[in-house]
Amino acid sequence: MQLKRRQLSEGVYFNLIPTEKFKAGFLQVRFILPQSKQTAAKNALVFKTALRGTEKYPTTTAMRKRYDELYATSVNSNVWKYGDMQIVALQSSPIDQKYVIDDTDITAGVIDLFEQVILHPLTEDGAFKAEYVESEKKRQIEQVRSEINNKGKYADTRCTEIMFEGDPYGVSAAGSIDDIEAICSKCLYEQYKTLISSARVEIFAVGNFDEEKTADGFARIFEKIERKNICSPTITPLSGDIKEVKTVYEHQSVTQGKLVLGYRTGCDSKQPDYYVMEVFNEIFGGSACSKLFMNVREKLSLCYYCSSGLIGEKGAMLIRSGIEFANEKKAVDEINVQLQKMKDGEISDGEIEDAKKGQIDGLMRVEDRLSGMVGWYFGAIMRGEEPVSPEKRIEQIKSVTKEQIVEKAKGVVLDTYYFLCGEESGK
Amino acid sequence: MSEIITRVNESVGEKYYYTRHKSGLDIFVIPKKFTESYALFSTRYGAIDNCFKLEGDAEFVKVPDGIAHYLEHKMFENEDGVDTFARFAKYGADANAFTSSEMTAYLFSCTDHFDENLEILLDYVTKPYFTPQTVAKEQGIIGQEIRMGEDNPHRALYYNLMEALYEKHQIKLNVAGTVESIAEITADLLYSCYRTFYNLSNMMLVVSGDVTMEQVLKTADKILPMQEEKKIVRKYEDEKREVNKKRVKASFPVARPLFMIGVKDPDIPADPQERLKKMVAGDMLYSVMFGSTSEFAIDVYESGLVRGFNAGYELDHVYGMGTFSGEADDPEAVYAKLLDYIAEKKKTGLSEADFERCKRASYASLVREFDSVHVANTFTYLRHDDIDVFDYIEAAKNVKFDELKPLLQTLFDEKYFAMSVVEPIEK
Repeated sequence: MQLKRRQLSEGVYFNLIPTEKFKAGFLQVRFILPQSKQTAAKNALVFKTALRGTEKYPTTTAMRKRYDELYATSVNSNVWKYGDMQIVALQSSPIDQKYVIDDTDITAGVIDLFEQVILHPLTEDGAFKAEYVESEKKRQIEQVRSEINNKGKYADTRCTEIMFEGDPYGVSAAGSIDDIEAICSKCLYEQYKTLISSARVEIFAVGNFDEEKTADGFARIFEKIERKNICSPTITPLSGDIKEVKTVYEHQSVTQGKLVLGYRTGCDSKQPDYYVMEVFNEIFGGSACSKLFMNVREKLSLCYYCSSGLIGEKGAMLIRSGIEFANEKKAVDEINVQLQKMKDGEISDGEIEDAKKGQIDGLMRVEDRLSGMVGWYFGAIMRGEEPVSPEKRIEQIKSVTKEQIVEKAKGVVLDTYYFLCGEESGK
Repeated sequence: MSEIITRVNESVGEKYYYTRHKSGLDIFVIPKKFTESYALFSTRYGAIDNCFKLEGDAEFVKVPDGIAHYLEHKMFENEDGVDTFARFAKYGADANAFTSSEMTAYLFSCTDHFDENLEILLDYVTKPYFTPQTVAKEQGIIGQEIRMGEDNPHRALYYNLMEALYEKHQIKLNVAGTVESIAEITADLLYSCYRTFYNLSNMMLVVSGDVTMEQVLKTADKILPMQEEKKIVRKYEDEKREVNKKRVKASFPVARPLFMIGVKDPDIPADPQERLKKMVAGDMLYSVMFGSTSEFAIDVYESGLVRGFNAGYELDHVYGMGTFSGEADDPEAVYAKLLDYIAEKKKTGLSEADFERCKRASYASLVREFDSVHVANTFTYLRHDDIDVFDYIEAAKNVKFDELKPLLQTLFDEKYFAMSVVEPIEK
């Protein structure tokens, strides 16, 4: 796996990862901006609106027919948080030219679609077409409201909001309902201009692409934009200290309780030995052989799932479990017992070896997934580091000692206690 | 030694190897140049198989609902007390299992030590071990898995639709059973199901990755016991052609009503080749009429009548149905609009240009399926239905516009329609 990186214009970079392993490639343009309550909802909506219609493909029908002509190659927009940054992406998975049975030029066709969406969204009176803005707003609001339908995810989001109150990471990447409602087509169009001119832009092309043709195609899009006030990504992790644990019980008509515990780890992904934290997490709650799984689920039969996951950029960790309301204390007690074991070094050599193998297995798979390769390099780019190869990281993982793991475990402190329970139960 | 058969498909540039192992097991190897290798060991045994006997037995056995899934969980325990996940962890594999209405599958993927991991897979699935104590222990875990499902509105939506469409047929059964039904499960019942359905002649192994058939056979020779073929007689409830109920409703804490409209297809061709033809033509008919570029999908999207509209047709040897789902403020209005649209299309007919465009998109989607070792899943589903994946690709490539016309007249009879709705809880 190899990264060929070049600058196309100010704050715009093109990253090619050549591979011939896949029948469809991956093109993605990532716009990187500070995550803030004032702009999150608008940024999330910009390309969703632009994808409704452009000068050349003004209607949903025209747009979708074009996708089919390009062998079911659609362009879609995605938005998420990366530490303190909001990432707004446009992406597509064009089929490899060799499976095309006529003279359609797939790469040229898809880059043209990107150009349409980035430079030529449909406008009226110097703003986005109002009809499209209103219907996309409605859709976005419905999507935010629907988050309540998935209780596990909802509990995760709530715990994150409480834990990161006042921090950019506590802001929803899709925006709040009030913020979405307040958007007008004029202000959305203004934000669109700010977004394309000031975002840091990272373009990824993974697959069997002609390097010059693809880079030139994207260069031609961005040379038409006057780039200014360009964002330089900065992420501030949580400090390792807390004053008091925030405790929230929320009541809903549910039959199973959702417990989410938020921890500060004191170790974020910028630290050179962050991989030790990943080994810690694998042993503690990151796999079906982890302490949490083997004890809270297998030994005590309290739940179907109990796991931990890191938020590397922010130096945080969440533990999640779905339990009977009445078993709350039993489950939390056992989680605490297992965390204490990590801190006391009650970890067997077998556990460490298995966790390392699990981590290494994950690293070996990076090159089997188009988006996996993008994710790998993107992290390093955002941290301003020279990317290490997965092979190098494997060597580092192999060298991790129990003492290092215990030292990381000692830095883990509870920050937020969240329990989604029934109307009648809990405190 | 049995003969190894090679099958090649030029359209997608793929091949696979097949042999029947002397133990009676069908083995397939799909070579892929990925780092990751994947193996799926499955049995034709799912939630619907709750009444059965072996050929020659006098009486049918009736077992509690949810037992196939319960058995899947219990297969992970071994006589020496070592957990199966822990065995895989030694070789860095990622292991899992799942049960559906018609099959149970055990799988792993790994990037190293494929032979050792395959040995573990074949070993634990062919060596059941349960005691009354270990069976009792699982009640709590599966009980929580069922509870988690009870809080999932999409699951209720689906099973309520099955309740609406089917009066008696086991296809309507919840795969995990209920807290009450699983309480009746005993070690003896589990053994009885195991002996019937885990006979190697009722199973299949599909491997995908950088692996050879010779490699797989070496492990199979070492582990698999020689078995007499058993003929299983399954008893499915007779089902009337018409739907059971026109409407089934439930209330959940959701933001907006969810709907799923189903249309029963009682005409299931017994011959696999005939079924394949109907499957492909039906699928194409749904793409043309309700796919992302169809008038209907674009209308409900642009008008905001439905969020996340999805339509599809499925057919196998057990059941056939079409579904239409999404979120809508007024599901009855969607239902009426859908029937009007179908009536209109029956009169005016379909556009051949739309058909050609959808066919091209569908071919491209099939090509993309092979971009992952998980293509073994699709391969297995089709095989359990006596259909070859390459035959499927060729059928999709060769389907004719005229084949859709009779289906347009027969697949959408109003008396086969029903709807399931999940409404928000009144505040």
